[in-house]
Amino acid sequence: MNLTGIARKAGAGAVLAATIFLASCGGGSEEASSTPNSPDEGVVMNRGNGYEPNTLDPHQANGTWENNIIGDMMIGLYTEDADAKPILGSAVSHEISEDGLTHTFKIREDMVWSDGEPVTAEVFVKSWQRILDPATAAPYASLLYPFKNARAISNGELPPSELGARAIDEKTLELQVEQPTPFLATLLTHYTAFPVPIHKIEELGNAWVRPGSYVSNGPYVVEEWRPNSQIKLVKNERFYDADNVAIDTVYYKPIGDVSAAFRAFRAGEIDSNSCSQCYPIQQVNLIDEIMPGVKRNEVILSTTYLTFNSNVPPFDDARVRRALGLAIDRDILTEQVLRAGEVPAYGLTPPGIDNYIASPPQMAEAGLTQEERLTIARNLLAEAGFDENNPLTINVKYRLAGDRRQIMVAMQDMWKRIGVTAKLEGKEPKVAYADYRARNFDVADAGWVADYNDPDNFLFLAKGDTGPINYADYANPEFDRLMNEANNMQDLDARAELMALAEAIMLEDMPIAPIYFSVNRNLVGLHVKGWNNNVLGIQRTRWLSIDEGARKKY
Amino acid sequence: MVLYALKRLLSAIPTLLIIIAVAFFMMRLAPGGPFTSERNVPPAIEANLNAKYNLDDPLPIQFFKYLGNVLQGDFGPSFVNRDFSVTELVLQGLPVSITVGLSALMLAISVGSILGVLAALRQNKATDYTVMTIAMAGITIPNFVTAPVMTLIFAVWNDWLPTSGWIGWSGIEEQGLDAFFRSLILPVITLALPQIAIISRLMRGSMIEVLRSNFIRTARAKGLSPIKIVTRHALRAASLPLISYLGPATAALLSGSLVIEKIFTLPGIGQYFVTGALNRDYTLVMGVVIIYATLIVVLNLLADLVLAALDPKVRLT
Repeated sequence: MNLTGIARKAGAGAVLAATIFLASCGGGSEEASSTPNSPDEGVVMNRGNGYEPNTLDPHQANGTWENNIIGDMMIGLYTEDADAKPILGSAVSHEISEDGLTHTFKIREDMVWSDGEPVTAEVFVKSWQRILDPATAAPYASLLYPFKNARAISNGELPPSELGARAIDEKTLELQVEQPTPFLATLLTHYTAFPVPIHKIEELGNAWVRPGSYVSNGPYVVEEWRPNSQIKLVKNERFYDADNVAIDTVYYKPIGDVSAAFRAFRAGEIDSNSCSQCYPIQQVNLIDEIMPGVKRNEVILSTTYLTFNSNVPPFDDARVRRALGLAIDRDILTEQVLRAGEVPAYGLTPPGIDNYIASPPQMAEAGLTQEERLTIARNLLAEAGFDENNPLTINVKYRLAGDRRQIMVAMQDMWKRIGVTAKLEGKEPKVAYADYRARNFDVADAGWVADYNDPDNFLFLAKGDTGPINYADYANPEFDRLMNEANNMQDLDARAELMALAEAIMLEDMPIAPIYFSVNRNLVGLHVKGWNNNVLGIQRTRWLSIDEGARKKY
Repeated sequence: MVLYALKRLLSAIPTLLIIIAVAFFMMRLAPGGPFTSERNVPPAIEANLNAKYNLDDPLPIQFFKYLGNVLQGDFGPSFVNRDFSVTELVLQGLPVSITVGLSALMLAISVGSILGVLAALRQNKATDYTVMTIAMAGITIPNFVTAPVMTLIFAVWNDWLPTSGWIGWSGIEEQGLDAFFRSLILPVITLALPQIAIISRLMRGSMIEVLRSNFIRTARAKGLSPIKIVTRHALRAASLPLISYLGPATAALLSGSLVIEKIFTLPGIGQYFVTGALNRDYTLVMGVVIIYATLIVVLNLLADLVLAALDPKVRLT
């Protein structure tokens, strides 16, 4: 046998080896269930969840994907119903004093932690003291600043014991607020206001969040956490409404890659996926074609906007800001670039928000055609001294993530139509935000997602005392006055009217040019029942159920 | 040889220190910090956060504090994954990366060598051209293309394999050995493909050279059987370049791959290099950099030792 002969033999060997390898791989594919779960898990739901949670401690959390998990476990005084509207949770009653400054809650008599310890009024007091304590360094503590003395405690000026919250008896809680806070109910559904198991924290310190030590007062409790793989929640039988919880086990899967998440959904490995970008936009037609009904885009309380640095000329001139804002054809952006049901924005506050007037204010030019807007924009620029002989060139910073680049390039083209040359500078999001905070920009792309369902949570972005994230450094005394007056009112309707006035003034000045209201590109299997789209993008698992008969594979 | 190994390991200490220092200061030069976000974090709260994580000390002091902690085996808390320490995150991720990386390595070495030898033996014939064309394709097509295509074929259109997910050694008991292997197949093959291509090209080149050398002619003249010539004599000499290549390649494979981990949702450490840097999770990035640097030092040394054992011409000094 010569060398060629060996080659043949070796070739045959390689083929054989490959066959054996493949055969061993193929083994068992017949009984392949997409997610092998043991039978004692009961009804199982696999939820795609975008990212790996950074923490399960409600006091350390600050992401919506963390809220999805934590909110399945903890229940505040208020909680979300199936439509994410606030309903009483840990509390059975809520009384408000005449001046609106004192709130009294009765905690559920039967409420206990998942280890059987009672949930008392004292637990809430100590939880709030913990999140505001500078030593806890809670990134989101500022949400509780409406509570009396909360800001001073967080700044280290007062001890946590000075917080305006006290336990009157074991199950009666009194909370004092700095000013009448008509949105208190919705604020109390937020995870910053959740109770935490003080008895566990005193025993274990920060290790209380580990599976096995974690105790909850809500429908589920964490049983297993494999970082970057999955988080397993199991039903908490001690939850007050456990009888009505249909799903026994929930897996949260942090599938960050959009395409991977889409494939996992197609293969039935996840039952739902809810996040801002849950399927690749290029697949939008394929989804409608091969799996009709699973695409559940929901417009959420989130505004994407441009902001102008009012410290830098010519952006201190409202005419320039308005011209730049008007030149953007929002219909083209939403219908041809974004394509997932985003809504053109002519105001900062999204439609469908609670505690506001029926149709939030829009800029005066909202009803015009784009051609008419362009004419106005050209005139405004000319008034400000920019024309063919003195063309305006702007530097635009933007966050280099997702499909932002395409959107910015489209805007660049739109500005050309009013004779403005835009130089685009994409920055990694962390760098972009650091630059915005340092006011190291001329024009910048930014966005805001609501923390809670109230117009104040959008309009505060333009208040003179907001600090770093009022990127434009907008300070209009009239706007601030109206906002402060509104926030001292108890009557929600009158408050809404004042806020609408303020928003209209701000839109006229246009320190912020709203571009569009964002959507969550949700994918929800037809077998998942009880999934209601809502502006907060919150669907708690306790309201969902699985109809096995309707399960489909694609 | 033991003395040589010790000497090499000792000389690695300054190298590691330099790497740690450079990585540490470069990380800090990047604008933005772990707590920069679009959310409303009042300055007082940012100060609280910086105080908690010792970010308010001057940079050199932070560096020496960090170095001191590392020497005591404490890699610090992760700034972003707040419920875990860096050591915990790495210890959870490393076995995953090693399992996938080592499997891919073994697959790549065995298939790649066989293909390379075949191509060399049938130089400039159809087999050679086929193998080399495939190898070229394997090198040029990136795995962010092969991975989705393979998933589409084997997991979406056909229900043979899972699209993503990790069973892990601990999951074998619950979900079976079968599920464990099935979850490994796609990531391992995708990770191995470019390596198969590189190894087969390396093997082909060196094998062709060796087969022309005098000692092979002597072996043939002695009347040795062709199989013995390849397995006993040629293979040993031809695999020397491969071994030099395998040192750093193994370190890269064992420390995980961002693309593979993202596409197949594997909880390995490869993604920490990138997500850690993007999140400005300083301690996490430092942790994985130190691991990667150590792996490179150790595996390069190992490759040198193996080379010396195989090649009588190499002397360790």
